[in-house]
Amino acid sequence: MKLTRRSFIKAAGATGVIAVGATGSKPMLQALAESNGTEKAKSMQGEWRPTVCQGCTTWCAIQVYVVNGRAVKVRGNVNSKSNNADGKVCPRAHMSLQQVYDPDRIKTPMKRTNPKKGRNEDPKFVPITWDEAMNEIADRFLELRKNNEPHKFVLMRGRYTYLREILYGAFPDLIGSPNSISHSAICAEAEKFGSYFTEHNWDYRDYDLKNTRYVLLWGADPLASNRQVPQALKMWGEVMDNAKVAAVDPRLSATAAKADDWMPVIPGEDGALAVAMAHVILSEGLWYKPFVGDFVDGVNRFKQGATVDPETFSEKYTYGIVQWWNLELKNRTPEWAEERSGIPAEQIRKVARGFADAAPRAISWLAPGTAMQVRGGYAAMASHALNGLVGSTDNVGGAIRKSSIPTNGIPDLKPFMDDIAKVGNDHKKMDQRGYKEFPAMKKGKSGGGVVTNRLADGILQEDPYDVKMAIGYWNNLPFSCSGASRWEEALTKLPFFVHITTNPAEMTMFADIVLPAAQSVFERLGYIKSKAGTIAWLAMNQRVIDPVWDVRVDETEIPYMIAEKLAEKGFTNILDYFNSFKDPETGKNPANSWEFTEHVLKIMTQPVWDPAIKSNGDQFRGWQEFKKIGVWNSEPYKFRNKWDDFGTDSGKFEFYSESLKHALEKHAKKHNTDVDDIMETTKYTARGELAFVPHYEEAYRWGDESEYPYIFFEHRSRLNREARSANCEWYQEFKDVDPGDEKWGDVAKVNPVDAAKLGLKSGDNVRLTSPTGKIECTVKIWEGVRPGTIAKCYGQGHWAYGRVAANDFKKHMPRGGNNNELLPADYERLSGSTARHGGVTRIKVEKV
Amino acid sequence: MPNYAMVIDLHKCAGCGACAITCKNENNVPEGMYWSNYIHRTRGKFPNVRYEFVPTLCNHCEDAPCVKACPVGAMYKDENGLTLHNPDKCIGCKACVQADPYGVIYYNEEKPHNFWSDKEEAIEKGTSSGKEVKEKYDAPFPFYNPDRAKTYAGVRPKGIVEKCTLCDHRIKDGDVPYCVASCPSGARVFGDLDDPKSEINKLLNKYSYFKLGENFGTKPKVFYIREF
Amino acid sequence: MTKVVTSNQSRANIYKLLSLCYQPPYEDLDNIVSSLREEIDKLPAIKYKIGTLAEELASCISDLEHTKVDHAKLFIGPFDLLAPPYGSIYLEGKRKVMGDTTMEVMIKYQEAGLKLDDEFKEPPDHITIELEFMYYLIFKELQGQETNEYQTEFLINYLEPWVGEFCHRIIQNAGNDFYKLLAKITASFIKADMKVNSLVC
Repeated sequence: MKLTRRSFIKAAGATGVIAVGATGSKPMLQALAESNGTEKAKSMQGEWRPTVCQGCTTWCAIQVYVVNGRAVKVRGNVNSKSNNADGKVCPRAHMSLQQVYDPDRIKTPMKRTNPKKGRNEDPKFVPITWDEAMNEIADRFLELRKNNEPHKFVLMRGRYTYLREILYGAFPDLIGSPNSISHSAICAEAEKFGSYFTEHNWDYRDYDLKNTRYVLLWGADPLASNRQVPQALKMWGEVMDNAKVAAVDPRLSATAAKADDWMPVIPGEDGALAVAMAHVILSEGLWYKPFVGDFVDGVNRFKQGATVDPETFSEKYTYGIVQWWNLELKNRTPEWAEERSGIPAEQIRKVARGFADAAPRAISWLAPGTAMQVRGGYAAMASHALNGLVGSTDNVGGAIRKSSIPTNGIPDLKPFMDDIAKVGNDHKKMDQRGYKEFPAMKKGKSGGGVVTNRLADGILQEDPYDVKMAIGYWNNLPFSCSGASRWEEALTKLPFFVHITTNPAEMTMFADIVLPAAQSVFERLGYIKSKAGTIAWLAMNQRVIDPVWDVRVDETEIPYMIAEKLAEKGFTNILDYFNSFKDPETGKNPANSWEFTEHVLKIMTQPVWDPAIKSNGDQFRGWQEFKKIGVWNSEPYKFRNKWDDFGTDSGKFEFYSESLKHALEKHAKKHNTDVDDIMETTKYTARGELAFVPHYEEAYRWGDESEYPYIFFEHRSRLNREARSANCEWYQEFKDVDPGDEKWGDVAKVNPVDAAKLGLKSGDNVRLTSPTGKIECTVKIWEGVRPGTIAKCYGQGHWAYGRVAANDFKKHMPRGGNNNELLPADYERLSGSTARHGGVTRIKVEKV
Repeated sequence: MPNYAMVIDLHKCAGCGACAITCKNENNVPEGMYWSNYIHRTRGKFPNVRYEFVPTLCNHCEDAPCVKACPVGAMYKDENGLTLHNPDKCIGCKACVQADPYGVIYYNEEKPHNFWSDKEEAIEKGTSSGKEVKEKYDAPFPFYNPDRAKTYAGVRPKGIVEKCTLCDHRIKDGDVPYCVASCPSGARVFGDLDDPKSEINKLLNKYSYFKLGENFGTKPKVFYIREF
Repeated sequence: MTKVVTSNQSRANIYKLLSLCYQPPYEDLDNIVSSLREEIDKLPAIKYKIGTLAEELASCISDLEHTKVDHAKLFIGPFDLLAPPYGSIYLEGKRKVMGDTTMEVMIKYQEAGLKLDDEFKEPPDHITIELEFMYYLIFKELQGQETNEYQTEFLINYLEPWVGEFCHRIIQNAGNDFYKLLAKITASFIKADMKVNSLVC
């Protein structure tokens, strides 16, 4: 029985003594409770402490089981309310234990003593103190500023927490450099392009799997990668009970393996399928009329080949359905698409009908596979536009957005920005964004987004100018960017490069100074925002164990320490600014880098933990309680809020994108030209108004078919922690959970038909050669790829990073080959995105 | 006394391998050994291809050949129907390994977790070694789970065998095996086969099921329902 | 009843009532405080030390709202706690809730067959919980199920080492007399109880 305080006192009054003494009486407990026998013995030697897993972009709130200061296990944070709650998490999270305790972690700041740089040069690193490191870095900054060229400093950001506002945001601003270059464009900007230019959403979408009746996946493999993996893993049994699943993927992916329909599209031809499905939906009258509207007289005029008079159709929440039909769809029959995509017309029809029959509870799930192609921008739009045709956008069982997460910005830094900094900040950015051939139209603005991979060329060509100094953190660009060898050259050219990293990554090997970073799950502070299953959350990275080594938090502590050193040498602005960050509870200024970190975190997250501020989700009694729980959950998403105004130029869901038209015209005007010329410059074939509607573009490939007979394409691993887990033994031991892959191996998956032609058997070593590079790996004969194509997973091929990841770390011998050394550096230029998918290159295969 | 068993719903299973990874974590299983494991295969011809994934573990057979084969009674059936192993009695003769038709018993040829005794450094003085990291902690290796040692050797020494215990140390505490607790798809259900009201019996009544190596005559207690 | 039993009943009750006093104050605070005084009166050695304080305490809770505000400022936040009610903060010398001593305390509870109540969302080293745990241990001793050693061990290792500083911070920072008096009573009682207790065993 649960006793209240009142009954306790009452009992005391009645007995004279308070509930003690009498045989058989029960103790009266409020804060504690008697546990039953099983719980009594429960193995609670340790304690579950909250933090965040950033092994992929799901960014799960997790908990770490800590015993005597050791991290022993990992689980989902039981306080999380999204579908990935109840203590479950995907296989990636568990591997983080082998990351934090990795013996190959950098344990001290180091300095290069071999001035020569290059993959085959031993950097001859020697340990130095943090103070020595800061001293040297500060001197370099002061030198740049003295010469009025602070803009020649580049900050290269990789993965991040939202404390990025300091190192990536404020710090370069106050130094005087516009060059805060993020990794975003190697991540998936082309995907955001698809949802932005249809419905004004520059973000990844959430999916209401619980209520859906059809899931159509575009190069998405949610059981293994992309976003929201734990939610997909948890929900998929139910999804398969309630819904049909079709997977467009050139490889038999983890999700395709369980799908009702696998559509092994010829890489890069996804757009043909999307527009053909739209054609079927319209010509068969299957669109969702409550969202799209209908012909005024109810007679379907969408007949193959027929041009339709826009006046005859009355649209509701959409814009340009008839123009889309007239400009693009009217002849895009399944038979036409079969020729291009390799997918039978009947299967296209079947999937299109099934998808539309489920309307509006039908998800068209757009992912990098379909979007990050040289001509993927329009395929992204086309596949996302299907959500518009079936009215599933922002709807129950459909593709939705995330609830808002209230946070604060950081204090105004303008008062601390001196003239040198102001002048420096006015320079162009080094990644060539906004150049004629790189529109990078994030949110419709020319040059609004990053062109990450182009930075290497910017540095090499000294265009727009030369770079004298760079800091990189939580990134490994010569591994993660296609055209990887350019990065090796660019980093070799950099006169002074500082790498903040946990492991001796490929990028580290080019550094002049190496700084050991706090591991993101266990050792740092930070916070993230994410969403899944209609719940948005804010969770904090927390220091749940004492750091294994003498590390610092990259985004806050290191800039603070540099600022201290700069102040010591006479430039106090940055430290003055940082020291103005008051603890919102005590009003105290920070006394050191750790306190500063805490203040930034407390300031930015105050709207969720401060009981005085009402939020659209969990309420806490204060900072301490929030720290203990570790995650703030929003209220469930409210559907159909956007229908009345999507925020596009027309306010509607745009099948004819006025927003894109506007953006392209502005970009063209900036370069004194027209949109057709921009299309040509950005490698697109569309001319005229076709550029403003989702449409088919033939796949763009490097390499001549006669010399390079096979289409190469790559995919993601369910064990990749963004290519940072290859040094974990478990990664290697369980690599074969990726269908077709092998333990401890790196295999090129070849269809038996091709293997027979090439005289190859599984286990043979081969060299793969593209027009821009070559790698070596092992052959795996596998039916899960189409004849004529060769698939390989990304993640292996490290020649550095550690002694497990590399075949021989000291000799720089890779385990397998890194796909990015094979892939050419190419782009979906309208978004700035790297184009790594869609069979961007052809290759030849030779036995070695 | 309960008769513990497991049901694995292959329809829910996504083949992610979390069971196998977390088993290593919970039970301090060394490299190359897989108490929790899986079989996978790809069948058919492009484009009509099927991929199947079947998670495996010790079947805790009612009629366990490994128990019969053990000359010293180190391998035994406990009162809860589990097939367990007593490391103190084990003489490392590997008769159980021979007898086990499922290949789920592993022999420790070498000192386990050798990785953490290694003194090599990737970058001299700049990075660490397995040995140096290990010595920072009062444990056989940094993420060693001490709970395992409650009912079994926390790490099994060289010269004896080891196998899945269905996490008897967790069951004893009223918890479920760790592969069940950590399966993100909820594909694994653990319970008492002799309790007609148990969740596993509900599933076995609802769906048809199969067991691995039913013709071995070992009466395995890991049941598979539905299709991958 | 023997004398030991009677005094143990009172000891248990005092711990329990002190535990209640550190919870957010409600209308029943009057009752709690007057019960506390009665129990203290039953133990001559204790009464000699804090009987007067207990009387004063009973007379100074006229304004419940003020007491509530004071309680929040001292123990709850939202801003920096004037007297954080968590052992680990004092024991480990840093502001780290859920430190290792927190974990050890939790293990003590578990060894005694207890868990944290699901509705009482505070860390295991919260003053309310530790005081209630003492109550529980004495209760069990009275039932003949636990020995006195557990109490002593817990007192020496976990409760006493921080209660002094904790109470000191209350005395320094409390806005009105109620919590100042409560702190004085708590500190003196625990000190005295430890002496008495260690003599007993």
